[in-house]
Amino acid sequence: MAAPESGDGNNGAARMVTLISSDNTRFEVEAAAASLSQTLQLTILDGGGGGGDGIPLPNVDSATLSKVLEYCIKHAPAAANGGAPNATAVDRAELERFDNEFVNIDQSVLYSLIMAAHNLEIEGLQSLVAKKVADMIKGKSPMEIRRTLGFPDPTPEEQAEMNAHMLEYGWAYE
Amino acid sequence: MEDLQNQDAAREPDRPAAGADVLPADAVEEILRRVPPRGLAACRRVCTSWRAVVDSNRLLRADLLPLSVAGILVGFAALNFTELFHAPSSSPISARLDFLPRPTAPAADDDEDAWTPVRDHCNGLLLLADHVANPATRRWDPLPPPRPQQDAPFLTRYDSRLVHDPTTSPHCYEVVRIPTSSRPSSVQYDNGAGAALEWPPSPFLLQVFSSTTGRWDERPFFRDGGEAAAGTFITKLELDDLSGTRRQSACWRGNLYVHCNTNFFIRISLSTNQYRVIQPPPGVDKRTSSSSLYLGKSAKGIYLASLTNQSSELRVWVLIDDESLDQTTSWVLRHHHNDIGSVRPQRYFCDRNPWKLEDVNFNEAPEDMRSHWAMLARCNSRYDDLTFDRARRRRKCHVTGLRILGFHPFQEVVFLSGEMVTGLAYHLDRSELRELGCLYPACYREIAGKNGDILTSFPYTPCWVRDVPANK
Repeated sequence: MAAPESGDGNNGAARMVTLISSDNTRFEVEAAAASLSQTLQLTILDGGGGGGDGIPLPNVDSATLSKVLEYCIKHAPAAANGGAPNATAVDRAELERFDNEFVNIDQSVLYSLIMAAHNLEIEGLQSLVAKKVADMIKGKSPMEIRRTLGFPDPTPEEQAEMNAHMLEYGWAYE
Repeated sequence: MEDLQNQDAAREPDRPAAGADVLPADAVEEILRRVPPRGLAACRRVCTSWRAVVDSNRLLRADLLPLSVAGILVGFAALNFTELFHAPSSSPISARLDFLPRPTAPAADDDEDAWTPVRDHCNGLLLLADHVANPATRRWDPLPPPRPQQDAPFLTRYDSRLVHDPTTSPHCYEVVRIPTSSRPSSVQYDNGAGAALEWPPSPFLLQVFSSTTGRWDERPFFRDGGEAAAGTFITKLELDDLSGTRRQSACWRGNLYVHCNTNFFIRISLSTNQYRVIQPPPGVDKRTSSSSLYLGKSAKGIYLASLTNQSSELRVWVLIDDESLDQTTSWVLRHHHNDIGSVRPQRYFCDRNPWKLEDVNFNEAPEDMRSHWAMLARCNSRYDDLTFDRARRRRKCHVTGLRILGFHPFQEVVFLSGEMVTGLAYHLDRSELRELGCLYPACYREIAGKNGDILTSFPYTPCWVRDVPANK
């Protein structure tokens, strides 16, 4: 089973794998796309996910998984070219446009995506969503950050602690 | 398989995330690595776990940021290198800039003062004729020549200003070229030099170099709204100021404040492509000598200092410019001293050690020149001491020949020089004058003759952030 083929699946007909979300929805994708996930790549290299078995992902619901796979399918060809040194500017611009659109989503979806990208170790997606959240933090006060990112209201103790650290790094608040 | 299941037992799979508080520390770190220092300071106060992420990963490196004054960069007339007047106990940074590819100067274009290699300083970065350099990290970027402007007027001079704030955007800087004299072809002069014209025009076309794109672009800036939206009226003669006086600029909260011809000021917002004209405070007008004024950033924002009355009367204003308020900008007098020359300076600013001039011009000169100057200096020195003392006694003052070197960026302190010899720090709240040390370059009188003068001075805050400039 442990075929020494590359995870890119570029040996003729594309190899397909099945992923099973936490709510038991089955997704069939090319192994090349699924292999953007470091975690899945190991399993796929071991020959898992083929045929009827499928790879269960108990931590990722179907909505999130379909979003993750949308990203993987789009980025798989570029990744297969080894970081795409010969990609045209048009291709790169297209990927950039896709990425911008892709993270233009509801916050709860964004956090599910962060968790999924993190668990599945999809480097490009991790950095894409992290950058999105970092942009949301830009120029905001601690309270504004809490509100923007959907933190629950601070308890009095938390509030006191926030104030206690007010004086540190005074240059940042001038 | 099992690994996958165990990895995030912390979160129930079917619960949609409500907020970022559910994110594991690794994911938070991934996010915070992309937040600039100012944002990180805010993130540290968001919650305990975020603070732990910032602190345990050493994400916020305040020690790398330009938050302390290492000295004052002083451009002397007739000297090839800008000198660094070092604060004691600061890191050994040199203004020699020997890491730059040679030759650095003189500049090919003659629209700027080719005598002064350092044309501007902003948060640790130096603007040179064709480089942007960081003496702390010894990194540099080439600065390409600006594109020739299409309706290039033949009488145009520019001042280039550097805009960089590593606390908000460590990865980029911008250079803005501001015309200090111009003959815009769109403006008609009806009756000769006396005709007034509205300046700056709207849109005000400025060339902006961005380190992100690596090229110059011409960007239109529009006068922003508000009641005082009008520009200022100046005549062509006033506009074509060829005196070569170097006026100051300062960056604060992402805006660039520039001291313009005839002593008004503009605030340029590079993010919104807008500018605003700020009239000078009462008592300062177009007749005031621009070299008696200094615009700079200090503890509470943008400050303006003026030294008048034979450079003995010091006035300092703070600019009230809170964009969240009613959109007005006005100067508030912060300090007024009638005769600062009568204040007896105390010895040494801090650490009880004097500041020292690096003297790179003297040290880099050939051996035979050095010995020649030194010999001349020995002949002159006895005579010098006598005349200085006599002049002081006659005026009953402790310090004479004052000029403004700049503002301390974080304390309400004005740096001054007396007769180009003594570096001084004046504390606004205590009206106290402290002697910093001797800033007179070795054998300057012998080198420069009667042309000795201070052309530029910038309080220097070293920055060790390595993102820009890129080369080393």
